[in-house]
Amino acid sequence: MHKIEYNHTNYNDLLKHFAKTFNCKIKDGKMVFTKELGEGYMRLVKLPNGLQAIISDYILKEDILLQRKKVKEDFFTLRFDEADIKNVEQQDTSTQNTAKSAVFLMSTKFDWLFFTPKNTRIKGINIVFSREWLDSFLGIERVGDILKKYLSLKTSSFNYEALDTEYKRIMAEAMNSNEDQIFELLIIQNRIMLLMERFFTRIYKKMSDSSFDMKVSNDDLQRLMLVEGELLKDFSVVPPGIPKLARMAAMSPSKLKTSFRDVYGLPIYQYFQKHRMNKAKAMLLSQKYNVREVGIDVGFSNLSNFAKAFKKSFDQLPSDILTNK
Amino acid sequence: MIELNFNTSNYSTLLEQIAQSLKCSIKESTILLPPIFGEGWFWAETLPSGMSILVSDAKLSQEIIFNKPALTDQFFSLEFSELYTTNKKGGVHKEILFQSFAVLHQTSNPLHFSIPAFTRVKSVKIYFSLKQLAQLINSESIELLFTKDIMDYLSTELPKIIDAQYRTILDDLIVPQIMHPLKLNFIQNRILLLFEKFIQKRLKANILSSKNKLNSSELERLMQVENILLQDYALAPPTIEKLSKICAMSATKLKSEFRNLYGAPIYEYYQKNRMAKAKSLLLDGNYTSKEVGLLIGYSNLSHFAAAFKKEYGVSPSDLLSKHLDIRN
Repeated sequence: MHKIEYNHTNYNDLLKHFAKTFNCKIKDGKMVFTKELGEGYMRLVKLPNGLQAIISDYILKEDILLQRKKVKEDFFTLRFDEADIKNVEQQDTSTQNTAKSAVFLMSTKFDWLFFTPKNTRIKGINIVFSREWLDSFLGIERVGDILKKYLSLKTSSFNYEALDTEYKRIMAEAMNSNEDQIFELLIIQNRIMLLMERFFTRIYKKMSDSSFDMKVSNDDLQRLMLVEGELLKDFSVVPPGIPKLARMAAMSPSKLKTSFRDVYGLPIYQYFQKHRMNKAKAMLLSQKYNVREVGIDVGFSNLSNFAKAFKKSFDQLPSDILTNK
Repeated sequence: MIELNFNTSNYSTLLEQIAQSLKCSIKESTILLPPIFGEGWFWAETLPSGMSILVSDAKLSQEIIFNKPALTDQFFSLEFSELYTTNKKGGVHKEILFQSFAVLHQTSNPLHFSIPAFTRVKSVKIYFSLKQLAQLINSESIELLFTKDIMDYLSTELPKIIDAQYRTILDDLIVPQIMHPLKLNFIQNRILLLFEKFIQKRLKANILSSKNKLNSSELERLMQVENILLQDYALAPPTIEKLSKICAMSATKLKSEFRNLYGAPIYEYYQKNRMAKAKSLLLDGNYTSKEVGLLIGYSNLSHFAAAFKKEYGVSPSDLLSKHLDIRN
């Protein structure tokens, strides 16, 4: 049995580590298994958008046990593995994570084991990214905060789902693009982004399918999102009162307050204030507006109140941002 | 007649300029056309990379003229548009596709164009600079798209038509409002897929360019054939005989030109798109496989299952059960 321990968060180094352990050569980012070991390859793909992935397709003659040791760095790996066991010969599958066709997101802060019995064909796309990368990926989205909160409620394994046909189809497009090498990278990147889009969308759906730890039902979540949208729609006018929002959400004011806080992590008006100040800061940073214009745009008629509120949020005055830049 | 003058390479700003000219308001980055101007909508979005996108499906009751002077900012725009006219036949209004193109412009060229009254325009347009694109796409791919002969390319090459490959991506975008939870990533991924297809087709066009010697009227008629073919899968598809009448070509010419233009024989193309439609209906999750079969014209469900399995290697009901089973 091959037993490989590793703790890399850089896939370039990881591939080198594999090559060294298996005593295989890497050529143009691709490691091909020798005939003695089996057949197939593992290749490194570095995408222009900052992601690293290892794409692999191999069958080995011996069992293989991958053991990832936890590290302090805050990284995530997202694995798409398609396992196809050729021999029907009964295997002793006492090891925890036996090869399965699955999608799996996890943190590098925890140990992890992956066992593949011999003669199993593994086709995989494994992606690694930092927490910062994930934050910026989700951060641009309206539901980003909810998703991040959901992920933060989980510990080592965030989500595990069976690899369905649609995932397999997208994977196959990435792996058999048959295009010229230059152009292939774009195809692979687009497929990887589609895989990620689908994975996180499904987490979101699953979350709103009421299996989420927060005691908020799917319907309530939809209505809370309406409330949230209404709240942040226009900062220049007085925000709607709790009674109005409660009517909109078809909830009692006290239920609205608690469930809003559960989902968005802050009480309603603190949440409103946070986003309002963020908008003000973004406008100031653009250097296109003066303090007065920004204050009015985010709904302050009294500019010294604006300055005070801004200082409370960011510990500096609005004018500091203009002159500093 | 409405005249619209604009001088920006950002579609969110352009949307504001359109709203001003038409004196209507923007809600959630969307303009709903007031009835006095016609019907339809426009939405725009600026992505974190700085690229922006304008999507519309609108029919104005007046002619509209767009004027944009030459800009110095070195942006490009990639545009996909389909234009339909309305014909009145025996009191029934019928929309007919008469123009369809995918084209790349450079903002350093001035732009003047007009759209006749009562023309329905469905379009997706993307403004980008090479710097913005380089954050998302590897530089080699960009070079494939923007080789040194770019100026020649922009001035001489005929626009490419929109085929079903583009249309599946465009259909994801041409909706009044994108409801996807990861909206911006969703839009960005579709934009990159459009770039991918555009580059891919450009590479193929370089190989095939000698083959394509259709005049513009023939091209237009073939586009109509393609449009009619994919109009409604619930009905039996028109026969080659009927199609060749519609486009006023001999059956042999129609078959070979269609194949050159769309990359597959007529019925293979039809079947492929029909199955793609079935798949997207199934993945929507609102229909059973029986309903989907009926919607795309199969009265015999085992034929549907067999055809589907042939295309995707899995039966419709398997696809459905696996897809719905998101909790393992």
